[in-house]
Formats: sequence, structure tokens, C-alpha cells
Amino acid sequence: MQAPFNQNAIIPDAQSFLSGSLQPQPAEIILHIQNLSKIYGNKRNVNATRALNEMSFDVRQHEFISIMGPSGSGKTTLLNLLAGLDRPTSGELWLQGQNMARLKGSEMALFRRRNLGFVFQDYNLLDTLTLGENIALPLSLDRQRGKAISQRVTEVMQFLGISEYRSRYPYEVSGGQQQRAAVARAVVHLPRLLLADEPTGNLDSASARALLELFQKLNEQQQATILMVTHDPFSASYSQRIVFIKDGSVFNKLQRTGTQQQFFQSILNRLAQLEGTHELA
Amino acid sequence: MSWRELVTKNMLRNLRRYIGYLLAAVLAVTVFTMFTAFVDNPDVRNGHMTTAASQLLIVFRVFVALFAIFFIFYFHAALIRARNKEFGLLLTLGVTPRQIGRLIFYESILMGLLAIVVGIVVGIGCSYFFLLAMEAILSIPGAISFTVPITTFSVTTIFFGIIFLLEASWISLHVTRRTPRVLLLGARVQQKPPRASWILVLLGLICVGAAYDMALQYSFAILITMIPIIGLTIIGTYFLFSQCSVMILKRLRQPGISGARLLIVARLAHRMRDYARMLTVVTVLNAIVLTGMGAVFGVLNLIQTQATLIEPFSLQLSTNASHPPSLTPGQVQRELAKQHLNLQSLVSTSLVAGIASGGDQTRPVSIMSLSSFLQLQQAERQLHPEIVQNQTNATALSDENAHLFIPYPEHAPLFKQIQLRVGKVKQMLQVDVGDTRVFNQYHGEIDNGLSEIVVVISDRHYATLARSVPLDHRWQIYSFELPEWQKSVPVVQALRSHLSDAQQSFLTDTVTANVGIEQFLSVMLFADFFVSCLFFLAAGSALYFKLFSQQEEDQRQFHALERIGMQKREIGSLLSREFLLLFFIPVILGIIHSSVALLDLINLFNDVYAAIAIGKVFGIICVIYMACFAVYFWFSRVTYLRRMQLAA
Repeated sequence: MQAPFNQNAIIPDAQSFLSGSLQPQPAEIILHIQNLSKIYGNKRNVNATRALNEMSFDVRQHEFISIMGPSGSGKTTLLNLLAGLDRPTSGELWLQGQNMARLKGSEMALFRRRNLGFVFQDYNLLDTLTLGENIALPLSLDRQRGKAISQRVTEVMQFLGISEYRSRYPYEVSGGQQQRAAVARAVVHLPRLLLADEPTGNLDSASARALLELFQKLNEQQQATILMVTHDPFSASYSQRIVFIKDGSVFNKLQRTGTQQQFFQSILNRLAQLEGTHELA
Repeated sequence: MSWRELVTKNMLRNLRRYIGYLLAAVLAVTVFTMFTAFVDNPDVRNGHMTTAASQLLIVFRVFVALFAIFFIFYFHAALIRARNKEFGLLLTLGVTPRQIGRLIFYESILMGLLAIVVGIVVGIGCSYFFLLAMEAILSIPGAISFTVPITTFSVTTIFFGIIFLLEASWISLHVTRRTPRVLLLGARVQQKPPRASWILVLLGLICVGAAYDMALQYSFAILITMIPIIGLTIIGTYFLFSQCSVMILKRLRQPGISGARLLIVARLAHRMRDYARMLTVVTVLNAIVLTGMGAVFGVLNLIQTQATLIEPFSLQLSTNASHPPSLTPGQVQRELAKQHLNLQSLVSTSLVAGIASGGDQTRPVSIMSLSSFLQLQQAERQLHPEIVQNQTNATALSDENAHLFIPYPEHAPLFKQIQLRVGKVKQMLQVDVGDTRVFNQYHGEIDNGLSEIVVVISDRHYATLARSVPLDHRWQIYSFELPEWQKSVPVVQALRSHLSDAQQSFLTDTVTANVGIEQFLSVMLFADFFVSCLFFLAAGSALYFKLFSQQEEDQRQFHALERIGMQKREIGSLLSREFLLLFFIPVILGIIHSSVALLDLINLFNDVYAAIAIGKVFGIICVIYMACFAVYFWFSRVTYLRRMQLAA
């Protein structure tokens, strides 16, 4: 099958990624989701759960997009499919010209490792590695060696303001610093897409704010494409566009206009509409 | 639901976790039961053992007891650590620390009782099969009969009753004193970055170095130095694991190494502090097994080698020309054929009995021709190539020259000239003296002055001499070499039945003395083999249980790794490499320790044969031990990967 968009998207190299010297590119579609469905349980079973129901949307390069929805709307399922931890029942999921639904187990792991970066709510750092080593891990796993790794880690840590904690262990630093390290690990290998799953969920408000500003900085200065799943309207107000989902499909979308405060207000309005009388997850 | 019900249900649902600890406790009791049953067995008590060996059995009893204590405390602590969170939660829900303490105490006592009962039953059952298996392996049937001494029950029950009681009190007190915060955050709060201190690294190296030096320098004083050597080695080994290893791992942990290596190095560095005690125990157990097996089987091999030096011919039949014994070489050959034993060589030698005087000594001697001597020597060397090293060779002779072979190097004469007397003929001969043996040692007196001392004269000279002596001075010796002489016991028995009591000394053989040595040492062999098997089991199990006690933490880590895109296969190979290191580093260190111990033993013998005999046996034992450990490694790896759902 032919990919529905240009496969040879221009990838920023390490230099341009950090120097910010990338020439503005026409916004290309980097992630294309079409009629994606995921059904848990037997298809013939009446009790089967339709976690995702013919969901479709696109993410463009250099976009900072949020996915919002109440609990049970399919956020986690969508993220699991994107992360390759689960397989869709039907539909297509194109990332960088590759239909991820068709990749086999080990191909998937490699593809994911090279093209995606993840930030989790629980940071997902390894306690036995220092922050520097945690950040270097995706590069070392890809059999990269030597000084290049070290240099790259230094650059990223500097950008994220955690250089001084390089040889500290996760249990020796604060939650905010751990999450920054997790972000550093997620972007160190220059992924096409950065996925964040409730990244501020475990942080206090000041650390959460700092982290979201970091995402904005990554997006604006480094042209990183970010997809963030959240239920927090304040976090979502940092992004440029929001996709609201409900019952496994796209409910509607919201593009940022005006100030962040105004955007935040319109998110709240839209949520009220989405939820009706229901509470947010 | 009452609090009591809650606790019971909670415990029952934790059963899977308990099983690991329960098995470890049962194993400790089993090992102890087996050991006690063995040591208190009347056959072992009354059997022949050197003083050192019976002293060592006492030392080992202490070892087994210490091992059992270590096993129980260590693995229960690991279990409680894994449950810290649960206790913390109970505390925050309003359960008092005292209640939790009591809960843990009762649980521990209950598990202890269960372990004692199951352990003793399993231990006795295993003892029975163990004895059967050992008899088959060592091929000394009936050396030790199976009995269950009453002390097995009393000693084991009392010992473990006390241990479990102390342990239960200790662990419940330990948890009671913890705050909910520490309990809830558990291991994470208590984690410390791995650090090694130079001083302790040095101390470790000095301890091991001092122990080695003491062992090698003062071999003769081993009975005094033994305890300090063992103590220093244990302390040194502990520091090697807890400090040196961390230092080495830190060195290896350079930025830019591959991901898998980084993960292994980092995981090991973090866990070394925890592993160190267990690895030390395993190393010490390995060293004991290897030293014990090396020493006992090495010495056995040495004695057997020396026995073959004294009795180089599998069978040797002497017949006098005037009154031959009631056994002919033909009968011997028929008997060999009947028992399906191959004959490598049969040398028939004619000789003349005479008397030699030299210096102030006069001795009966056997006179033979040079070619006969060479034939015998060749047959000997063919079967026992190791003999070549200290044998003197015979060279061509004139009529006035002879070789005098006295097969006892310590009795080498100083004179160069002998007077040889056969019947009425007297002759002066210049002699070259050597200690080559071409006769088996005689047990008992032999008629007509047949002697192990040999005078070799030239063929021509011998022919002249043989013609001139009376018949009763002439002998024919039939020397049989059997490649499988170890199996010749029935042949020897059958042949001896043909000979009258007075004639028994005309037939000599290699196997009888060898079997005698084996039987003489059988209790020691048995004890050594038994202790070794038990310690091997203990060493492997310590590793196995340790690895399994960390599975929850590993599961968390591997989940985290999988989430960032590491493949199951990669995690599996990472674990395999880690297991390989944990299993084989203690074996290698154990081999090094025991090599030093055996060098010490070889020093005591101060003999090339000792070095060869013990070295050879030790090499074989190391290979076998490694192979056994490899099996254990493979088993642990496969089960663990399956448990982790990483199996490919």
C-alpha cells in the first residue's frame, strides 16, 4: 500500500535540532490515524468492549497537540497502540510512512525505539542508572558508542537545565528533575514524535508548569512534534491544538487562538459540552 | 470482616511469595538433617578416619549450622522487605505496630514449624537415596548402612526450634520499629549509590594475600594456621565482593558502553552490597567442596599411583624350576579369558637366585639377563607411563660389569663392587646402582631366597651362569599386564584359590593393595563426597533463591525497559549474562582458593608425584564441578525467564 503522504520527510539532524537553525518546512503529516478500532474481548462476544471506534485524525510536523477525554474514552488504548504495546483490531496507523499496525514484534520494538520518544506519568527511570545513563540508554541500546553519545547527552541535559544532576541517581533528585530527565531520555535520539502520557500527573503545580514550558520550548525552539495525553485542561492549554475524544472516537477539535488564558477558557467550555453533567476523569 | 480474618486472608493470598522462603527454610533443615544423620551414623563414627578428617567433620558441622542460620535469616529478610509496603499500608490504616509485630511473629513460627517437619522428612528420605547413589558412584557397597540415629530428630528439632524462635523475634521487632514512611517507600528510600572504599578494597586484598601467604609459607603448621587462614579468606572474599567488585564495575561503567553492558554493570553495582554476603557464602562452599574433593581424591590417587609403583605388574607369578606351584601361566590366561579381561603383555623371564655381598651387607638377589630386564621394563612402562620419570635404565654390559637394582631409593648402597655367589660359583662384579623395580613387592616370606633386588648381567654371561646352577636355584617369572587391572579382583581371587597358603606369595598383583586402600579410606571418601554434594546443593540453592527473591523488582525494571522499546529477547540475554556472572564468579574464585589450599597440601608431601597426582585429580574435579554448576545455571535461567515471561 502506498503511504498517503511523503515518506521522505525532512528529519532534523542533531546539529539543527539544538541550534534551531532548521529552515521552516511546509507542515507535513507525521502521524496519520485512519478508522482505528480496538475491540477487547471476542468479536462475537456481546460483552466485547469497543475501546476505539473508527478513530481518525492527523498530527503535523512541529505540532504540539493534546488529546483530551473523560476516563473510558480510549486515551490509554490510543497511547498503547501508538506505543506499539498493543495491536489495533482494524484501521491504519501511519507513522513516518510506516503502517505500524503491520509491524511484527521485534520490528515494532526497533521502530518504536528509533522513531518515538515517551514521557510517562511515573517517569519510568531506572533506579540503577544515573540520570546521565538513563538519558543515554536509548542511544546505547541502538549500539551507538563512544563520545558521540556523551556529547549528545550533555547537549540535551543542558537544554533541559539538568546538567548538574548528570551523575545523580533518580532516587537522589526531585520528581520535577526526574521528569525532566525522562523528557531528556525521550528526545535524546531525535524521535519523529514525542508521546507524553499525563506527564504532569505526579508533579506539584510549579514543577508541572516548568515541565509544560519545557515542552513549549522544545516545540518552538527545536521544532519537536509532541502528542500529549492529558485530562488536565491547564496542561492542555500549553498546546496548539486539542483533539477531544469520547467513546473511542473523535468528538471534536480545538485550535488555539489568542492568549493561553483565553485558550484555557475555551477548553473548559468545550469540556463542559463534552462531559455534560459528567465529571472529568 | 474482623481484623483477624483480614490478616488470614491477606496471608493466604501472599502464599506465592511465602513459597520461596518456605522452600529455602525446608532446604536448610533438609541439609542439616542429612548432615546430622550422616555424621551420627555408627558406621561413620566408628569408621576409619584420620584425626584431621574427623576434626574437619566437626568444623563442617559448624559450617552447615551457620549456613542454615544464614539461609533462614537472609531469605526471610528478603521476604519481609518485599512486603514492607503492605505493612506500611496496614500501619496507616490504624493497625498498631505491636499487632503487626505479633502477626509477623506468628507467621514466622508457623512457617518454621512447617519447615522443620517437612525438612526432617525430606532429609531422611534424601539420605536414603543419597547413600544408594553414592555407593553406586563410588563403587564401595556396604561401606555405610542406612540408619536414622535418634539424634537426627532431637538435634535438628532443638537447633531449628531455637533458630526459628530467635529469627521470628528478631524480624518482628525489626519491622515494629520501622515508621510507615520507611515501610511504604521501602527500598527506594533506603537505596544508596554504590560506593567502594579504597581502604576496604586494600583490606580485602591484604586479607586474601595474607591467607595465601600463610598457607604456602607455613604448610607444615597447617593445624595451627588453618583457622586463621579460613577466617582471613572469608573476610577477604567478602571485601572482594562488596568492595573490589564495585570498584571494578565502576571502572567498567564508562560513558558510551553498549546499553546491555551498561545495564548489567549498573544492576550488579547496585546489588553487590546485597549480593556480597551470599556470594561469599557460595564461594566458601565452593572452595570447601573443591578443596575437600581435591585433597581426598588427590591423596587417594597419589597412594594408588605409589601402589602401582610398588606393584607395577597386574599379575606376577613366580615358579621354581624344581618345585613349581600348583598354578600355571596357562591357567592364569584361561581365567583371564573367562573373565573377559584383555591381556596387554605377558613377559616370561628366567632368573637365577643368588647372594650378593657388598660393603658389609649380604643379601639374596635375583639375577637376570639384560634383555630380560629390558623386556620387563618395557612392559611396565607400557601400562604405567608415569613410571618412566624416576627409573634408571640399564645399558650394555661386559662380563665383568653388572647393574644392581635396589627398588628402595632410600637404601641406595655406596659400594661399587659386589661379590656374587650362586651355588658354589663366586664372582666379583663392578656394579652401577639403580632403583628400578621389575618385581612386585612380596607380601610375606618367599622361599629359596627369591628377591626384589635384581642383578642384571650380560646375556652371554647369564647363559653361562644359568647352565651351571642347580635346578632349585632357577626360576621362571610370568608377568602379566592388564589394561583394566582395576577390574581384576575376581580373577585374583579365583587364581589364589588354586594356591595353598604356603604358595600364596608366589602370586602378586596390583589390585589387592589398591582395593585395600580404597576400603581403608572408604568412610573418608564417603564423608567427603557427601559433604561435597550437600554443599554444592547449598551453594546452588543460595544463588537460586537469591535470584528469585528479586523477581518483583526485576519485573518493575523490565517493564520500564520494555516501555522505552527494549525487546524481550534483549532483556532475556541481559539476564542470562548476569546469571552467568553470578554463578561462575564464585566458582572461579572458589577454584583459586582451593588451588592454593592444595598447593599447601602438595608442599607437605614435597614430592613430584604428589603434585601430578593431586593436580590431575583436581583438574578433573574442577571440570565436573563447573559442569554441575552449569546445569544449575541453566535450570535457574530457564525457570527465571519463564517466570518473568521472557522465555523466547
